[in-house]
Amino acid sequence: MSNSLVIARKEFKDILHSGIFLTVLLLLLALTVTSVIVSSFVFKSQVDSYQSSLQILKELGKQPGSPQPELFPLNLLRGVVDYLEIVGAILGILLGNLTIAREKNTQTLKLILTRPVSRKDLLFGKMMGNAVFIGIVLVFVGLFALLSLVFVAGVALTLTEAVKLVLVIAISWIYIMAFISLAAFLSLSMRSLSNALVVAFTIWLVFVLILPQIGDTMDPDNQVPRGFFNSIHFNKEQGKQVLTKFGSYENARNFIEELSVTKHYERTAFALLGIKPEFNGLPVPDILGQKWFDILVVILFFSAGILTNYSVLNKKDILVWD
Amino acid sequence: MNNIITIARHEIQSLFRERTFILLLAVFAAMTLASAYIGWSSQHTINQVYTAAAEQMRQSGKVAPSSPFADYPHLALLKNMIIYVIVIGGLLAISTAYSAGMRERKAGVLKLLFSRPVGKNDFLLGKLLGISFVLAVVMLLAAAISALSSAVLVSLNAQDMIHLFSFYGFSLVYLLGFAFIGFSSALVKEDEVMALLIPIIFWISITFVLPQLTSALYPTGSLNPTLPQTDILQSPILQTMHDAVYPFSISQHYKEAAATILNINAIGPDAQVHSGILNVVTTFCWMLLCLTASFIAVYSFDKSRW
Repeated sequence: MSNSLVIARKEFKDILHSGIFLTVLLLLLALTVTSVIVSSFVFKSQVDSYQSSLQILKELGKQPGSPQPELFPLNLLRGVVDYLEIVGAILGILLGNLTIAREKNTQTLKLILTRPVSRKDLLFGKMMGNAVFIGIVLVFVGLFALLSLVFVAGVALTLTEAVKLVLVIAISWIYIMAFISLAAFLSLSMRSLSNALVVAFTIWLVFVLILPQIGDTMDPDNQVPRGFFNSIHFNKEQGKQVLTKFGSYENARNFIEELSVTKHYERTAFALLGIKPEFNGLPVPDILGQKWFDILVVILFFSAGILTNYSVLNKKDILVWD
Repeated sequence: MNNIITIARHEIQSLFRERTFILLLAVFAAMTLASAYIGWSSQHTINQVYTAAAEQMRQSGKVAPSSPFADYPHLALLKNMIIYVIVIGGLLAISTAYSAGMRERKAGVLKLLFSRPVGKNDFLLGKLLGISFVLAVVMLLAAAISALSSAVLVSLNAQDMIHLFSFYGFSLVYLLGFAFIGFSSALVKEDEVMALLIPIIFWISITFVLPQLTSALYPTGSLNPTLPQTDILQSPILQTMHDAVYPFSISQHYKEAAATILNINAIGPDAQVHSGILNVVTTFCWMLLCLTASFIAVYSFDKSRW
């Protein structure tokens, strides 16, 4: 067995033995079920509301102005993506910090490197162990989402929808791995592990929560509870037409959002799940074709993390850890 | 009493020397400064969007409805601060208290400390006093930044200033709850990462999960300072869920009370206006409950273990 595989197996076992595994897995599964339950009830409430409005219109001899809400099962998973982008990134930071902390605290890095183990083996072994763990967690999340859709919402997925769900899991895996490599890089570079953890959380705070939040609250349509254009009885097309006059403001808002890797992950996942209505019913290659830039940014973020880790690990002074 | 003051003073000095605390404080201060401009810019643009939409309606022979922002209060430009207190302030409070709880453990001086005539009461009160003082300074700094930045953009009167400082005072109460949880967890959990993870799970639950259960808000929707629409709760099941969970949804109580204090909660046609007093009382109860948790943590921890 190659060195990388031995290290990966050890890394995976260490994660399983720590309390974090069960805590985070249970948390993510609970959040998945909660999201699907709430979304299902909201959808049922919308259908009931439509039916009662339809009844009133029929009694008045009028026709409904809008079609009945249509259920797209993957739409019910929007909350799951929100949780993966927030909690998944936290999980990544904790794992990335821990993977280095284990070696720093026990001072085993020097010992490992005195054996015929290259730094590349060490890095890839550690990343592989974490990657397998994240993969398993996400498979559980995907299965729970699937079961919740069947048993709570009472819907089954078509083959295309199942493929889209798998792709969402895949992009989520890359996204979380990117945070693992970021936290590992900080833990390798900084003397204090606690400081590295807090710096990683600060980066998480800025890129996962603050930048998307700024972009979201700058959206003119998000200024009143049911949407500004809705409040003045404008439809989406009319709203878009008005906003064309505010191009520079919208560009600035979009630029702020695009600074965040989380927004790129979210846009890809939302397109695959059909959260934006224009993506509902689109074939998978078309969605991937339209979202290639967002996918590329997430992959680049992950690749940059791996490269920086490798570069830090190759520095000679890494052996003077005490 | 002297011991308490000495421990508190040491805590304050140590926290202000910590680079990670300074980093989070810098992020919080920067966002406080930016929030007034973001609020002003959004408000300014939305007024122009309304004018353009109204003009378009007039050209097509329709009567434009009145602007939903006609009576926009001055302090509405600080509405993002409510979210920044929940998000950045919450994590700053947890990280500050976690550091305070871990410091003696990590340095291995707990046994030494308790070999001196220092009781658990002195230790707890000194630590809590130090943490509370530091967070109070952070809120005071944020209030000063908000007051100055808002005054540059809009004209504020004395009443606005009272509302602004009351908002930050109330925010301190909300943040102390998280600080006390972070401190308790650092004392009782042996594993350092778990000790940080537990208050963060609390924070996630309070910030994202409970609002989803009470108002069917998507997790990222909780980060929008505009209060949620309530017509979705016409569903009996969602209404039941709301009634059962709402009393415990501390972040929503905080958001609503903070919006009332800043005088911005009446924006929008169906904005929820819950009893301000109930929201404030609930937030105080939350802080006191977390304070109790700190007392229990201190009295249950075995000082000889570390």
